Amino acid sequence: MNPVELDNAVLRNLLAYTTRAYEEQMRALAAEKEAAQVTLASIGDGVLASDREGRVKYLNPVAERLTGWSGAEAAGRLVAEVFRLTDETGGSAGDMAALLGRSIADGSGLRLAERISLESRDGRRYAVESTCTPMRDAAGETVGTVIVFQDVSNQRLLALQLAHQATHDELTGLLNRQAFCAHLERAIDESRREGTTHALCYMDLDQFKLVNETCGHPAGDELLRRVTVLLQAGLRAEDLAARLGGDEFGILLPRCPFPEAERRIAALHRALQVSPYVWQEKSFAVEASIGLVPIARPGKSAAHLLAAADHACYLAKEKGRNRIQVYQEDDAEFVRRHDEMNWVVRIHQTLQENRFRLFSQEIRPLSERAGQGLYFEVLLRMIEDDGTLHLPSDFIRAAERYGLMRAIDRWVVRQCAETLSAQPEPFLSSLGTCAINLSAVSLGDDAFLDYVLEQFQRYPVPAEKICFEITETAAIENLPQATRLLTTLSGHGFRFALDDFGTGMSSYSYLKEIPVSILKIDGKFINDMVTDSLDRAMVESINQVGHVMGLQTVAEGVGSGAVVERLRSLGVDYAQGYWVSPPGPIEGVWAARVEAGGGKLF
Amino acid sequence: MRSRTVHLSPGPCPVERLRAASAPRDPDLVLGFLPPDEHLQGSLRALAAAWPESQRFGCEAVTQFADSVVTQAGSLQLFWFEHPGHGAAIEVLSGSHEAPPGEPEVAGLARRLERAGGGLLLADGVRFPAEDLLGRLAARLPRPLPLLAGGLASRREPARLDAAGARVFYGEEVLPSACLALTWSGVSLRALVVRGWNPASPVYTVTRAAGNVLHEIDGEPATAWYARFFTVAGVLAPLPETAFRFPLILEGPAPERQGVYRTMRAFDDPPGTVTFWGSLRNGDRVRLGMGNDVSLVRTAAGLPAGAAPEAAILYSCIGREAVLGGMAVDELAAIHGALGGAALSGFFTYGEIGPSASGGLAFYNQTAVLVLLQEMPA
Repeated sequence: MNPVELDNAVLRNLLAYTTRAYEEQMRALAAEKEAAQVTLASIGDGVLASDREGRVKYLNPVAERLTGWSGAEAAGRLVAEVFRLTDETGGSAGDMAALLGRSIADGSGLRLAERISLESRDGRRYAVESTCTPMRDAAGETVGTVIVFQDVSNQRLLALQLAHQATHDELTGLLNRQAFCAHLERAIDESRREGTTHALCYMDLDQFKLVNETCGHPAGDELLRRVTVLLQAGLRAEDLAARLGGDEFGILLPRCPFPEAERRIAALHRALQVSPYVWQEKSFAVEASIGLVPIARPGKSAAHLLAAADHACYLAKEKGRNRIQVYQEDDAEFVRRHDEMNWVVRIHQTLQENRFRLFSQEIRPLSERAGQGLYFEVLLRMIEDDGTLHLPSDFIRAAERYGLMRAIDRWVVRQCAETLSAQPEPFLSSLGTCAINLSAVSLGDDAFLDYVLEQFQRYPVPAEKICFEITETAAIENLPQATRLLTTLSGHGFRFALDDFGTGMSSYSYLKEIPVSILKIDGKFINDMVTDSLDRAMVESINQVGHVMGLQTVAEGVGSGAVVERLRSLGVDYAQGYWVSPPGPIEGVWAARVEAGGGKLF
Repeated sequence: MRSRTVHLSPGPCPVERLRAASAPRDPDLVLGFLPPDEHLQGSLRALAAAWPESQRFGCEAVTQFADSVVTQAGSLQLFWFEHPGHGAAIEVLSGSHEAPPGEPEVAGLARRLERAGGGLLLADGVRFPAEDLLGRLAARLPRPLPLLAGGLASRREPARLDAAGARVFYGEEVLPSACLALTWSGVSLRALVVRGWNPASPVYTVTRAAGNVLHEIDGEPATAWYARFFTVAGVLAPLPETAFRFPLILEGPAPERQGVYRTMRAFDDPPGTVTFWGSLRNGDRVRLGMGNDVSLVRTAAGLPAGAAPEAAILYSCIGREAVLGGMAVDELAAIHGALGGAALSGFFTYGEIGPSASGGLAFYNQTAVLVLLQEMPA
């Protein structure tokens, strides 16, 4: 075989192998292509491929659906014509040709702008997220771009809903407190920067509680919605209304000189009252107490302004409700209330951190009528982090005003029961009376009865050794409930003392209705009775009436031996005061007294 | 620069004839490609007698070129530089496959090549590890790499490697296991790689190779792989001769190995392997190419006819000689014709050095590397 023939034979072999390899490659390519097409047809993303000139080459089925173009129709058209992006307002989202050009020039993938929408051929709009990536051939040359995009309409709607929920009140659709405060902060900031004046309102519905209690919560909810509608109708487009909680609304009037704000709020107040609120044939006047605060001076925080508006609203209520109260910066009542708010925080902390302490003061017998056992009154003290001791006079007013007395009373009852039960003998057998103060709130609290019984069941102490002290004012305020509570507890053996007697109504008639066994004569009659015949007459009178009714008597605030002698001569049964026995931490006082021997006449 | 070639006659060189060829002025540089025969030493003495002050260097070569003449009697190329200070520096690097040149020597050469902007290499075609040197230089030289070209000396082909090598010479000294490095000053270099082969098979992957020895392609013994193509009517074609017309083409993946060819040197020796005139590496993508005398000459004839250089040197693979046969002179004539009559010398080499397609340094088989020289203004 000559070289030429040999070469030809080798070439035939090479050709055969090359053909076979080519066919295998073609088959593999066809399989790959098919797999790629199936993948592209199956994926949930839209895929649009374009050439270097920015003309559409391919759309997958999702891209066809979202753009509204079939692949055949779109082929050869400019991408910008088929893939029409808009911003959220429907305006153009940018130059698509420039974008594709940049992707090709950079040779890297680009993420298209956020919050864009794809406008389909029939005008429908889809929120999309999209990336644009250059497409390269085997040699690495960029031959076009691939745009991959997802329909995120549902996610974006959900995100909007979540954002709305996070900033709005579900019932009324108004801003919630958090969002309102954010707007308020911005208004304050603007006022500081630009010197603009805004106004802030705090509105509380006067009849809301009544509507809720007499017609149920659906009626209350409907009232809130109706007020919302009235507010929205009466406010400017730039004004903001919020439901701050319960029946409280906040209104922010941006860039509104204060006289104009007063006029606007007055008009709004009138509009609320134009027609009554009717629910199942019951009619209620829609009345509101409104506090109004100007936002003009720098340096005031949102919290301060809200507190000021709240205070003004409170004063509106105090002054007879259904009125507008403009906040005055130098208002002493506001300062006091501000202080009270501070106390509220500290009381909460003290309860949480169990930093209240029980003190005790002995009440000494003066007459043979007095019982034989030891007689102590349990007193409350607040100890701060730094060891500072506070008397109840510092914080009780705030506790009463802001509904904390219920919690304090319960803490005292539980702590007292626990402490008593933990005392070693012979303390309990020596103890005649342990007096615990109760607030008016607890007298009106039906659940308090169960709480007391539960505590003294848990910490077994003979009920007859416990005497709850109530003021005559508290008793009279809640007379039916107080009578019910006292009667029931009396049935379990507990006793009651009427505290500070002589300062309130000083009516003897209800003494017949409530089962008290001790009268405590208010200290203001005691110390001057040596020189003041009127005080002496009051003490004598109360003591006599008490004795006639079978009650024991206690003189409070005793400050000298002369007073003690006078009380003894009048027949008062017990004396209490710093001069008689100063208060101290409960365990120390009790232990010392048991050691000294108790129950002897003073 | 002025240059002319001298086509020697068989046997010892007459000194007078040499002097006459260079008159009126002795050349600055004498490049010789001399037959590897018993007259070599005598020829070197004649060159020394004719041009005692000239730089003289070259190598053994079985077949040489002088302009458009293909000869086996030897050729010389004489160079005269126009400007004082222009010229060439020659250094000798010794080494073998067993004891390659030391690092300091390689580093020094790299520095000089970098300063000169390139150079020419002539190496012992059997014993000097030229391809290894190229790799080490490439690793040391800055990018873009300076131009490096050259060839490997050849001798009467024994079937097996022998101890004599294919030697280089410098002055009157014949140097076995050595490489001459020529760095120029005031001369610009260009290089063209002449191919002429077309892809003829699918691409396969080298799965086992060591140095110049190929063990497996796509997991198949190299001999079996070759046999599938070279078995005709149940008989294996003569190898490696037939394979000269079907060189192995490297297709990467390393960029510097893209478009590099390998010529078969031995088949089934050692058994099961195929040995080449250049290296193969595991992972090389390879295919068989095809060509013949006609395709090679046609490629040479298609060389771009640019501005004529002042001188040229051609390093053509000995594998091409086997394919070209009697048409070697046609290829040379085509190339010389493209040079516009510039003085051209060269030889058929055991391996040629030139720039790779990616701008790296490549060790080729089966190509012709044409180096174009031009003296720069002072």
